[in-house]
Amino acid sequence: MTTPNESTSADEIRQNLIAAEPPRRPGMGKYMLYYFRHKLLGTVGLVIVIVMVLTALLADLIAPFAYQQQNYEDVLAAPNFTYLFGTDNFGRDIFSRIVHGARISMLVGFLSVLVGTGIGAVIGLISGFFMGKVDAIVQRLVDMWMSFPDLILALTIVAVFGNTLPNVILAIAATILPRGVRVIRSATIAIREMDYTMAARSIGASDIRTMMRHIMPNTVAPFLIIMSSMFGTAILTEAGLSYLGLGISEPTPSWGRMLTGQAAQYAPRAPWIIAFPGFFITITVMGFAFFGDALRDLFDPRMRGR
Amino acid sequence: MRTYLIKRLLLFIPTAFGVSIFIFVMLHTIPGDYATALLLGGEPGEAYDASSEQFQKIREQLGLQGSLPQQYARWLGNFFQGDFGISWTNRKPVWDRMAPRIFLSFELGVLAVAIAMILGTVGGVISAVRQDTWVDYLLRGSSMTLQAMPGFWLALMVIAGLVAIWGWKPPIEYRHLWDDPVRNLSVLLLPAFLVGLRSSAEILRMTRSSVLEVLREDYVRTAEAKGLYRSKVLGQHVLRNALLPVTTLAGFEVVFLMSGQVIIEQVFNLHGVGKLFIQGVAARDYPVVQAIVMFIALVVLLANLVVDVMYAWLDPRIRYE
Repeated sequence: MTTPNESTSADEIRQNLIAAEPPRRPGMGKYMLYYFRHKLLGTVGLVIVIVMVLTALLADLIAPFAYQQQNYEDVLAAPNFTYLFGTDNFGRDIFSRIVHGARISMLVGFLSVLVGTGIGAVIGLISGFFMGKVDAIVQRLVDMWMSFPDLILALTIVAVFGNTLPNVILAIAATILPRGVRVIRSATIAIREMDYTMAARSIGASDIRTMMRHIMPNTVAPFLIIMSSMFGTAILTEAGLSYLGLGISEPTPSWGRMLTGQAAQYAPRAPWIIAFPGFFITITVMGFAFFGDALRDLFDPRMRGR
Repeated sequence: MRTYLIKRLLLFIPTAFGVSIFIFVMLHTIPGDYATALLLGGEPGEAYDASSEQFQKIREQLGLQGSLPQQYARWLGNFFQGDFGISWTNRKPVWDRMAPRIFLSFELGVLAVAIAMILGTVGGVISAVRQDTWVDYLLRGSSMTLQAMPGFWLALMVIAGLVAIWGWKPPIEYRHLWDDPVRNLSVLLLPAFLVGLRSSAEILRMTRSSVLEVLREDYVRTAEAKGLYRSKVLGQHVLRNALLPVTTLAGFEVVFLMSGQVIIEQVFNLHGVGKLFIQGVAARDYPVVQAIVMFIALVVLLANLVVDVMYAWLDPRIRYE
């Protein structure tokens, strides 16, 4: 700050202050423009994410065939204009099955990530806010939890509760939960030391109020980032469960299940049977990973420009 | 060093206990009588005579008598004596079903970790030294793609490719390493390579950023300024410091690798512990599931212990703390 010039009166300064535009936060549009211009991979990721979500929502409109329709004249047909991705050993259109499979992947991915990171965030918030004994206990539990390989934990939960849709979602959510705890806990610890948190506490805000009004809103960014990057992991775990025949036991095809059973036997003759479902898993997981990385870069200025 | 070792060991014991309680509770959220009813041939919910002698005998066989803490104590006590319970599907001791499979899974795991570490570190160092060249982009691009791929899909595609192009037949017969090393490796090398390849992606990323960081250090500049050969700077100054944090990742990799290994055993039809686990889950054979989860968790905890001790041994800063 420069010392006020003697020739300007206090009134003049007041006038200038009123005339000056208040500093404005960049709007949503600016952020998006910045994003598209500077984050090429992130934009690609976002496009993939949007395409996949739309495919899942509009599956019935996009798919040219019903997913269970068997065309016996066209068994194991190579990709052509009728069957874009060819047909499988029952003559079912692979493109239509992939389009419908997007539903399972998106649904399971979204819900399991929401439940897993959501519960994890609450635990992380409490653990990071109160520190001390609570934190020590929670951290030990998280360490234990993390010593189970993802797929093995999910399989065990499925074994206990059965492989219905809600159970599969919970099983995958359980693998994501400890990571949510870790990320939100460290964010909470950082925010806890901020001046505004101190200010809130010193004017007598309760623990709950400080947590809800001052800390939680500031953990939204890490929350979104972990959600986006865990989405891919969730899709991979779901595919693994389905491949092992322990995923969702519903008639709707899932990408993982399209690779199981006889698919492997026909693959050398008709590679499209396994090539396309796996390709879509990969591309979707990549899309979410790119999007998550770009989000992280945007929210974390230290990483910007790297 | 000794205090560190003792501290680390003391951490291991309560964690192992915690894990065992966790597993026990998780597998006992299923109503025990559901299982018993199933065993008696009835459907769940069907009425059965709970006081009959036969029923009590079966409960005893399954280790279901007594209160939950009693059951837990008995299970854990038996576990450490090598008695893992009786499999519900064929009424044989779980240990007898697991034992012949452990060596295969162990060998597969060791091979995969070794391959992952070699590919990951070598790739990471090359990628860092050739930063922002096409080699770097290629290595980073392929590691990103590998991480997004389901490991079992990669395996399926590779097998299909080998069969279609060279008429390759997946070797079926497994021989023990000591009996017929060539046959043994011909069966295990490809699955181990595929699991290792996928796990190498994370190691590559970590190695790359670690090497890049060390390359900017003052002592590296000093070494270069005094005229050391590039290879000597890399070997003696950069790698020694850069690879240290990567070793910590090995413990994490073991956890990650386990998931891949369970699936790859299924893809290649290898009769390892992972395949038995899948069978147990599919048949809801809880003693098998419980024993294998406990076994895997112990292996993971032990691997982490070994990695931490190794790290302390390699890094004087921790050793003398």
